[in-house]
Amino acid sequence: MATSLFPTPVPRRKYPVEFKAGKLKRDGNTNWLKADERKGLGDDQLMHFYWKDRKNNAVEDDLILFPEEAEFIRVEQCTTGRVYLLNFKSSSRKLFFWMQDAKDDKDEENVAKVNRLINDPQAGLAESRQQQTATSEAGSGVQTTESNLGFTSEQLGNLRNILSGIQVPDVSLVDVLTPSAIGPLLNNPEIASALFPHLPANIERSPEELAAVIQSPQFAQALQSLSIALQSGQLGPLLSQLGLDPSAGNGVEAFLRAIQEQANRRHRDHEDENTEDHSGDRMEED
Amino acid sequence: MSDAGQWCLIESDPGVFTELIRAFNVQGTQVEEVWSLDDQTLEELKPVYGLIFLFKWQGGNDSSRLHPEADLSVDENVYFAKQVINNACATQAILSILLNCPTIDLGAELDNFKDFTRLFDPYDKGLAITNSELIRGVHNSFARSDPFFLDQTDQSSSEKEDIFHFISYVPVQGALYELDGLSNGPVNLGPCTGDNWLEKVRPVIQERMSRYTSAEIRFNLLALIKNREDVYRTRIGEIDERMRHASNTNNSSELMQLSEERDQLLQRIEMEKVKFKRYERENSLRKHNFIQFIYNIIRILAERGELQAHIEYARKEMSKRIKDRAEKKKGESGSKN
Repeated sequence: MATSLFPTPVPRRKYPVEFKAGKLKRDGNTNWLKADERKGLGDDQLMHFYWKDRKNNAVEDDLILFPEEAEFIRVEQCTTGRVYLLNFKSSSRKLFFWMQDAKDDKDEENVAKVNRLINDPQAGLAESRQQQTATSEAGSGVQTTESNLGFTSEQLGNLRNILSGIQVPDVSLVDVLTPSAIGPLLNNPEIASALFPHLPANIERSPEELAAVIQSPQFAQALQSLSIALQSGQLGPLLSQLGLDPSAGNGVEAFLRAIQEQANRRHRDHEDENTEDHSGDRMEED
Repeated sequence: MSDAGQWCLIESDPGVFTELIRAFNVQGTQVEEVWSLDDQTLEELKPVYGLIFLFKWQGGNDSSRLHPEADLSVDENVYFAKQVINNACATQAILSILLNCPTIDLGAELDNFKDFTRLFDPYDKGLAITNSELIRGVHNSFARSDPFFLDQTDQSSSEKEDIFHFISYVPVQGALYELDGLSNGPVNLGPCTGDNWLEKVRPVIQERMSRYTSAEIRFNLLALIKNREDVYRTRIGEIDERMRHASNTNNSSELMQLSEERDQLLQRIEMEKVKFKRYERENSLRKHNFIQFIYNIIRILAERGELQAHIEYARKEMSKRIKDRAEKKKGESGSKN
């Protein structure tokens, strides 16, 4: 029997799969308990899905799952990622969880194992015995606070919306890059010059033409198309081309965030260069 | 590059269609939108080669044939192709007129195509159109230059997919025909001449228009007409002839009148040139890949710290829209009770 990394007062049973997850309650209040989510055979030889409070190892939820009865799926609408739903096919019961292991690289694997164990317990157990995966990474070093586990208030709001069944809307680029938002920029000669190379070849390079272009129905159409394409999540290659992380493109807001982060990074790098230059007593590079 | 065989959605716009036709090397024609069928409007458009109704059935709207199937005897003089692919609808509608007008200079490629497919049955004609690399290539070149050819339906549609449909009206060898892409053959609406066919077709079209309007079906009515500039220049030539005669006979009042007419025609030619410049510009904007442009604007906003505010604004707009839509739905279901 594998021992866990940290001694625990209660002897731990070995489960085919377990991972840290917080449970989200449907009335919109989120439950901040850190807890473990485990699946394993109970004494009755049926497949149990446990959700335990890690502090005292008390079992809060003990669900018996028969094959094909439920599925464990990712909630796509939550762009913060790592929100999963235990969806009961026969009833409307839904349990939401979010993954709290510090790293998300095992998420997919864990989810696949859960689904396997639900639908084909014998095979799932056999597989897990081979892999000997029982223990989750207890105490991977990252401390998350009790209060909000690292989510911003906006993300929490989104989660609340999901739980109450409201669809989380993504924004449209048409509403972000409105003529009144961009218009004022175009009078700045530096900005205009930066944009000229990206106009169609037969359009005159002037601020007036820029203004006409951004107000044209064809430009609005392009914004719409791009928004839709971003929501499809298929634009990885395009994002790489722009120097962005390909996985950052699931939706318009994610795309915008990625560009903001890129800009912040470049600004920091530029600042670092400047401070280095100063401290190194070198001439500033241009 | 689009997948082989895929047809993209193009805009229902006279500028798109006019340039589309020219991209086929067809000479001397243009497409205009028709807003009214009164005498004056029609007079301005003559000579008219054919009229096209383009519809969009909003997804799920099952109003199939709004016109009872008339006698569908096969007429070998009429080129009729069944509509096979949804997105190809508009181009096929235009071809339905072009391929029935011997007086139009079709250019070598379309001439060949017409010859090659002349004896095919309607379904095979439709297949030939959708498989034609030439035709599909030109059509697709007017789609937006997306670097990602996702199968996008018209953006203004909400959840369900839209179906496109065309019905053309064209005089062929002394008879007026209705060519409905979803029907099995052309419908002969009776005899007509090159001069009076528009009057004959007017009540048919008006009846359709009122039916679609009351069923809230969106449509465009387009006319394939002779190139306006050519028509005006020909008229100017005639006027010049008459002016020469009038000056010979010292008929100054006639001269003045003719001179005025001539000026008006020159003005109209100018307006046509402006319109075509606009088409050219709109089409180049349509085909342009705006990704870099958009990315750079966003980047600049981000660098200036202005991006966040616009995102917040956009979120509010989206919430408003969702709320309005939900309330509209509630209102509709409530009124049905």
